[in-house]
Amino acid sequence: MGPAGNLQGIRQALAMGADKAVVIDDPSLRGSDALLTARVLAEAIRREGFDLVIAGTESTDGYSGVVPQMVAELLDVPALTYATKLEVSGEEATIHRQTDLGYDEVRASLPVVVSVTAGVVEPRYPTFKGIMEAKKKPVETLTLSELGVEPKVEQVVVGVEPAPERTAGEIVEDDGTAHLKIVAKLEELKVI
Amino acid sequence: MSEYQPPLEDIDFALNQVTDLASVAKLEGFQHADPDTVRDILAEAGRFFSEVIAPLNRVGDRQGSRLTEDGVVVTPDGFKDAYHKFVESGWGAAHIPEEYGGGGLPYTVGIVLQEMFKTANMAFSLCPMLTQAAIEALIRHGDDTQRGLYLEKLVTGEWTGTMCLTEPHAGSDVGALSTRAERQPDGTYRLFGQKIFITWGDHDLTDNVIHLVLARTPGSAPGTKGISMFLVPKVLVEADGSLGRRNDLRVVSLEHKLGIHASPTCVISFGDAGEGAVGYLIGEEQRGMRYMFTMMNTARIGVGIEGLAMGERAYQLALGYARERRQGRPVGGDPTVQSPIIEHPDVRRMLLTMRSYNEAMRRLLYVVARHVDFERRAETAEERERHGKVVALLTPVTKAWCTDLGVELSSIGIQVHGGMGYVEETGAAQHYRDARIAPIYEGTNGIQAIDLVLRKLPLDEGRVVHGFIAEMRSVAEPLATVDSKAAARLTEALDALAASTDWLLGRLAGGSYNDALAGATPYLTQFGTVTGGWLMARSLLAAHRMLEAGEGDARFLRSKISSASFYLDQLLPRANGLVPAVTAGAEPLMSLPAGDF
Ligand SMILES: Cc1cc2nc3c(=O)[nH]c(=O)nc-3n(C[C@H](O)[C@H](O)[C@H](O)COP(=O)(O)OP(=O)(O)OC[C@H]3O[C@@H](n4cnc5c(N)ncnc54)[C@H](O)[C@@H]3O)c2cc1C
Repeated sequence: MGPAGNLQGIRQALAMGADKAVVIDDPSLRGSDALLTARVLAEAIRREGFDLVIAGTESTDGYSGVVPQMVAELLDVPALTYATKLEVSGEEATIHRQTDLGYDEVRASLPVVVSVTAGVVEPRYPTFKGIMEAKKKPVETLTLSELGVEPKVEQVVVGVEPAPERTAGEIVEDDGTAHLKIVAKLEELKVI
Repeated sequence: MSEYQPPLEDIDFALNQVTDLASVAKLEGFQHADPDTVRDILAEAGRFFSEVIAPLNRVGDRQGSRLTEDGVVVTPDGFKDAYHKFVESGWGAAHIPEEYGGGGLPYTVGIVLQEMFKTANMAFSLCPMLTQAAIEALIRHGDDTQRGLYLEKLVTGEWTGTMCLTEPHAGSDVGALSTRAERQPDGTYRLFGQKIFITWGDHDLTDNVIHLVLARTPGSAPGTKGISMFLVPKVLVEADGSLGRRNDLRVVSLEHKLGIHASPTCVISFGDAGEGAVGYLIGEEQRGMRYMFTMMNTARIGVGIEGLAMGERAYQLALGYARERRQGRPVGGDPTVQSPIIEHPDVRRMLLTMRSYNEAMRRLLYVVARHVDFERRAETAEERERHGKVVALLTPVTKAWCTDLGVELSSIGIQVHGGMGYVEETGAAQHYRDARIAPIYEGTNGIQAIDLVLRKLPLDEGRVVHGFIAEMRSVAEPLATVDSKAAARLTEALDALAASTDWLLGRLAGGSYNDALAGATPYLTQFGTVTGGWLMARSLLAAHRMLEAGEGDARFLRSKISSASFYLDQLLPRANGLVPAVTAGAEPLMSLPAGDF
């Protein structure tokens, strides 16, 4: 979903091995919210047919981090989120879901939406042949009306505030008891 | 962020605005290399070399390749994995003709891939570069059986190649080599002898290494005329392509050297075990040197790239440092704070010198590569021959001028760092140490200068060189319309070059060879510097034209004008100062008896 003028990322994905790309380009999608994005993606995915949908955890502009879950809900399939590892065997997908302490093993039967965390798998580099073949692969461009989705934005931005300025750190003078003060501080912050 | 950022913007500008890549894409078989596709290819390749190959440059230098007690050469940490990624990526085969399993890209694009590999990691890049030479030898001179057994694996990079010429008593004078090859009743040969300085002569990246060895058959003519070329695999290959037993050759030792530590420089003994190393004749007996000559241009241009590579790498490092390091206070600046050293005029001079020479080298390399493509693929035989002669003329200049500059610029790179450049921590010293080999191997720069003066100037009775000078002159007129001072400097430099050329041709015609030889090296520098000026003038004109037409990024284009003007105003005039050295003759060099030095 994005302007079809800039296909850099799409071409890279095709060069890495994808067989086909679908771009949804519509001026009314400018300023789309998470739910509209999810509706668009879900519709496009439904149209293509699917067993396994793989998404990132969040985009680096909106950072809402909810689109994959919404897509799963709209498609009425399970969502396996925050995956650091994915295995598909037969009709079942298994992931490691990252947690604060380690990971949970989570399973669901296909079809399923999986969101993966950044930096866990190293994407392969497009090969020279891959790049040349990508030129011949189909890229379909659709508008919202072709997809049959209403461009309704329901999210309202009520205000924008700058992040609080960083305050200077606290300096603990060492009079022989500095370690105790630091421990107390860390306990107060509930980090130990 | 990786230590090496491929300068894609300048590469693109040099390819499209100075070199005319589009004209190459019109040649037979290169239609897929249109500028847009090439841009995509280079962006991805650049990412690969920057992210996968460049990070191994330091570790390669620190660890180096080493020879274990059981005679195995072990490469530095990470090289094997990166090499496999390189093989998978297909970048090594991208400019090999499609009929041999390559990507069929023109050399004008292949040279950029080589530039990126070399800038990312020069020591590592030598391995695929030598493989490339072996591939070319097989394509041009091998027979069907040899091509069938070895070519595919070399093209994919599953095996690598070497070139084994040098022996203890045969360096510049290849004709003095004494490795012998004895013909067997089955048509194969057995080789006996020792080769030294063999780059990537053995390693643990692949399970076979294919050596191309120059040797002498019994009763052959003395000197270069009697040399034959043999294919000698490390592990013998069965008729079905499977690997058989080890051949009778072994690495005796690795050299300890100033730079390119990751590249194993091997002493290889052939036939030590007594039976002789099995070798297969390439082409015919006693034609080996001729075959070498057919590959010489691209091999030498390939080494020329290393000058740019080290200059570029040194520049990127020095620039980063100059922006961060604070020392001194600039004239008229705040006296209470130290300024980044990039604010000092003298540091600017160093950075602009590096930047401008790098741009000039890049343009020279790409333009020569374009001539190579036209030499191979132009429509008519006349055209192919004409381009071939320009390649012949420019090859020694490209090799020697660029590699000398690689040393000069990486030295300046250290200077920008001050004391931190001299200690190993910053990495500036490595580039200088690595750069130092390039003026030596693949024919020393002294030999290049001799080749230029003795072999290339006389081509077509001097018409090739004068034709080239005339072509360079044609840029002066358009240049005068945008920068009359630069145009005057270029004309002056071209006049001086034409005069030097005539002087040398006159000496040759008069049989005073020593006079011509005495001026050869300064002449080559003069030639390179002026050629760089011509190309920077074209760069300046292109940037002006685009600015006027409102095309491209104005800030980038103004930076092109700035480096081109700096070159034309301040670097190009250096060439004129060489004229006295070119035309002094041999007497001042030869009059002092050798014992009195
Ligand atoms: C790191 C490294 C890697 C190498 N890799 C390979 C390889 O893979 N395969 C291979 O076969 N070789 C390789 N070589 C060898 C290299 O090509 C030679 O070192 C080079 O050709 C110079 O030969 P030389 O060392 O014998 O020097 P010499 O020939 O002894 O030269 C010494 C000096 O004398 C000058 N000189 C020599 N003859 C003349 C002349 N007629 N007129 C004027 N000046 C002259 C030279 O320019 C030079 O300055 C490598 C060398 C090194 C150091």
